[in-house]
Amino acid sequence: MALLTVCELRTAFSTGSKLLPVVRGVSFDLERGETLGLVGESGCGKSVTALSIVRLLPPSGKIMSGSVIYDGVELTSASKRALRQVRGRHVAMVFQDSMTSLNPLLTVGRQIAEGIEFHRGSTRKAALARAGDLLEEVGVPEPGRRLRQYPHQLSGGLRQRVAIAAAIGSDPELLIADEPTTALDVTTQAQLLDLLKREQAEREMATILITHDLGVIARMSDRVCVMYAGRIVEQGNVDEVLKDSGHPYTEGLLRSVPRLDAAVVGRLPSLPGAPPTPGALGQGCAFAPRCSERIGRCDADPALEPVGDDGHTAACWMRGASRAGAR
Amino acid sequence: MDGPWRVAAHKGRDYAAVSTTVALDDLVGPNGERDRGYWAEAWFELRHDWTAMVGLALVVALVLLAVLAPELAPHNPTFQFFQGLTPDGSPLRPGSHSFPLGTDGLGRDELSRLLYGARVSLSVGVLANLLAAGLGIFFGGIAGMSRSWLQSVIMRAVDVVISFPVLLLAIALLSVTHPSVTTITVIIGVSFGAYLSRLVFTQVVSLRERDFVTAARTVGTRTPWILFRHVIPHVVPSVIVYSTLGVATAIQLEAALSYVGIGIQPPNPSWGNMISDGQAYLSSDPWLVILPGVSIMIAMFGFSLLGDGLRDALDPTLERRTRLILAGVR
Amino acid sequence: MPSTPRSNGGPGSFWLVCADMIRYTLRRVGWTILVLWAIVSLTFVATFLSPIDPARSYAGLRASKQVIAEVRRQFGLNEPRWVQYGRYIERLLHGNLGHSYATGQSVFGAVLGRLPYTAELAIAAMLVQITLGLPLGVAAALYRGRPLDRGILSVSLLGVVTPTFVLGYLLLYVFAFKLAWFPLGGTSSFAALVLPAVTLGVGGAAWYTRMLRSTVLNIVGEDYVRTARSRGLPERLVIWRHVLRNAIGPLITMIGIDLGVFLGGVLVVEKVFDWPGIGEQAWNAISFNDVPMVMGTVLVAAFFITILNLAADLVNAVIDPRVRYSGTAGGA
Repeated sequence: MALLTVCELRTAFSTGSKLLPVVRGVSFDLERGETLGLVGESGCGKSVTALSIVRLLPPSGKIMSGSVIYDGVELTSASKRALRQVRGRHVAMVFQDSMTSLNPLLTVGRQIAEGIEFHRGSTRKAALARAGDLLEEVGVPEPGRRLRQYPHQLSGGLRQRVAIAAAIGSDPELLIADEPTTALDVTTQAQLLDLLKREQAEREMATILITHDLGVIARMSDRVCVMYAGRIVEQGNVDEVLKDSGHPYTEGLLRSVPRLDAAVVGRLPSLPGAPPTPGALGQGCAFAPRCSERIGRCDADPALEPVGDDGHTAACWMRGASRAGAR
Repeated sequence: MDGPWRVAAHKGRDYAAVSTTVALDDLVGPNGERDRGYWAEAWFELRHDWTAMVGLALVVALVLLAVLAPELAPHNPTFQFFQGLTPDGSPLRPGSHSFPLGTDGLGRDELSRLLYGARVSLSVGVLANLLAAGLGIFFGGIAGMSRSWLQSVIMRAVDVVISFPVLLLAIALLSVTHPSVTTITVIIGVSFGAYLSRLVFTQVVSLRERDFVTAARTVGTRTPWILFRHVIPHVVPSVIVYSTLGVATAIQLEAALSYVGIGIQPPNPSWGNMISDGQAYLSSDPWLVILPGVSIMIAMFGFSLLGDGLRDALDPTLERRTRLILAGVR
Repeated sequence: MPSTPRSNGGPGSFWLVCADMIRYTLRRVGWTILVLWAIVSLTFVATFLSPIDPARSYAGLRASKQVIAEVRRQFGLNEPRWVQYGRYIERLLHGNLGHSYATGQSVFGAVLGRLPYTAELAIAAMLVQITLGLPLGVAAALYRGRPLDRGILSVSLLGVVTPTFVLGYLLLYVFAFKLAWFPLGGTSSFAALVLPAVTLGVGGAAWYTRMLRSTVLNIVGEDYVRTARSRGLPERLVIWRHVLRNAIGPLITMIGIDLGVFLGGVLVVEKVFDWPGIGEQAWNAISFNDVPMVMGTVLVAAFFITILNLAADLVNAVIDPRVRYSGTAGGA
């Protein structure tokens, strides 16, 4: 049985009178110890998907339908109490902005120890000692001194390490990292990703890595889901998807990444137009307005269809089994 | 990705300063599509907030009453009518034809006095806060963008002003100068201006670190221009909110000062000194205290509702948060 | 495995906090002294702007020219301004605030004499404000949009727009005059404290409620609250440790300033309830144009506000590390 099964998740935000669908039917599985990458442009709904899993949406957000089953427990309808037992202890999160994600009035050590104290029932002292160990594990120099410092005294990279330490402190089975390195410089980014990979391997932790950076996905993930306008448009093993993508959007993304080994020829290709806002979605494939390969059939929403082997699926009429028919 | 870029012509120079989209437009999604625009959007939200509209209606009504007082008042508010008193010297009850709301202890028409009192209250309230807003933006903005010594000097001066409780400051100054609408307005304006300076200062200091300021600096834009063209627009909404709420406080302050006797001097009417005069008749003719008292409350109520509504419309944090999530900025 | 010994990293090692606090305190106290000096000097300038001739006021309206001249000489009013300023500062440092025109007694003595009454009222009113404002404000924020929130907002709005003297008269009329539950004023008993304290406190409580509501609402939307929830902490703990702790800062500043204002004597309430405090004394002084008394009271009030503002800032520095570290560079 998969560790996490998300099925047809739909989440919407209510602003005033309007209800804006942000996640429009997302489904994926996650096995134990597996790293799944969730990639897409800003606004495609990847962060909201992650927040929906643990129900940490802001007050205006609501899960409209669908199911999220973690280790056999249905999370969308779980009681607050049951949810709190899952959060932190089994499913931990690391957020993008470490400055605002940490309480400025508490020391770093206290914040790491908080989860340990609560979930393990440790004393404050024991939890802080464990926090120190965790800081050392995530590669923070002088952990003893750092424990007593406050978030604003640390650099971005260190803060993010602290966030990771706090997250893994209770030995969760699933770590959801929402753009953990986006706010950092490239060198720090590389170090942090290595750290994540190491921790994940050592602890056999499943990870959902959310990012807009394909390079990060390539480096870190086993499988990847490409999201666009609230839907998953392509899913599969990382190598498969990146080498032989089944969706024009994925292809477009890949093409727009500059390569060291290619000759510099003219302008960097980019996808024309911009992703639709949640309120402006019509019928049919959401990507169609920007797609160079659209056909008449694209006015109807394509479902995810198998493309290659190994569970590689893409939601495009031009690919998959229907390919033969369209030709 | 193509983002919305705006070219701002730099005043007096012949090159264009390119700045990234002013942060206010964060509300717009990355596809460049603009919704109504910040102010139009705010007006839209205000219009649909019924308590704010009640406040707006009250404010408009008060302003009209105050402005049109000379036309609307049936009599001269300071004139003591012989027929304005009962034979044994008491004020007239409301309801008579010539004195709709009765008269006060000296035979003066209550209605006219209330209308002219509104004039005073609103003049002081609105003008003092306009002054305060100007001072606040000016000093707070400059202090926010300055280097350490200028910043310290300005903010310590602000601290000094804040250290005087407004009422006592007003009393101190008014006991040595001649009280009039002008002096009271200036005193309240300067005092509130100190508070607004603080508010503006805090915001400017954090806005200073934002990318759009750095971008403007990189192209050589001078600091004063950055301040007024780029930074101040972000500060304006909260200044509007607190100035509106400040009108309510200013109205109460002027009433308190006139009540104590160092505000508007008799025979000129102010709601405050009308209450003070009416105290003596509390048991027999309580409306002499009630009418001006209620007027003060209604005026404060109107401005408070409007101010709250503006606060929600101009900075709906939860709404904005949602939009930012939707735009993928968060 | 860690080989180097380290401290247990408590809530910020006590001595480190002390060191930073001392640094911050010295800085703040330094500025406070400067502010006090500015206040004192401004008051001095204000007295000079007065069209009232102090000598004439002191001597009395019907005094002859010689008497007035003598008074002038006696008070050193013929000296150059800056000499008078020096004397003024010197006297202040000795606690001499001048003498009342009306009664001739020392202003300082008079104010000090009335201080206990005002202090009593101030503390009582502050208690009312905090016990009413705090829970209501937090409750309104936590139940945002629901009937409780709307109710609290409406009631607090009423509290904000009611001028203190109106409320005072209202309470006096209803509870003392009509119902006779409380005395009509004065300080005869503990019961006499209730109405003035409530009058003074209710308005402030309304402000605190709204301000706290606004602050808590802002904080609840912050990322670190979401992080705390993501750790599976019970809501009560999240509210207590993360929300309230961060909300308390602005409230402490307000409490400090308010207490300072109260201690300066709240004229209106003291007058309405015949409360023999500093404010009532100032009121009488105003009617008699007793400039030294008025100025003396203003000085005392400003002094209290400044000192209490300092105290509030110091408390905030203990709670919020960003305040006491302002200026120090961050880590690696």
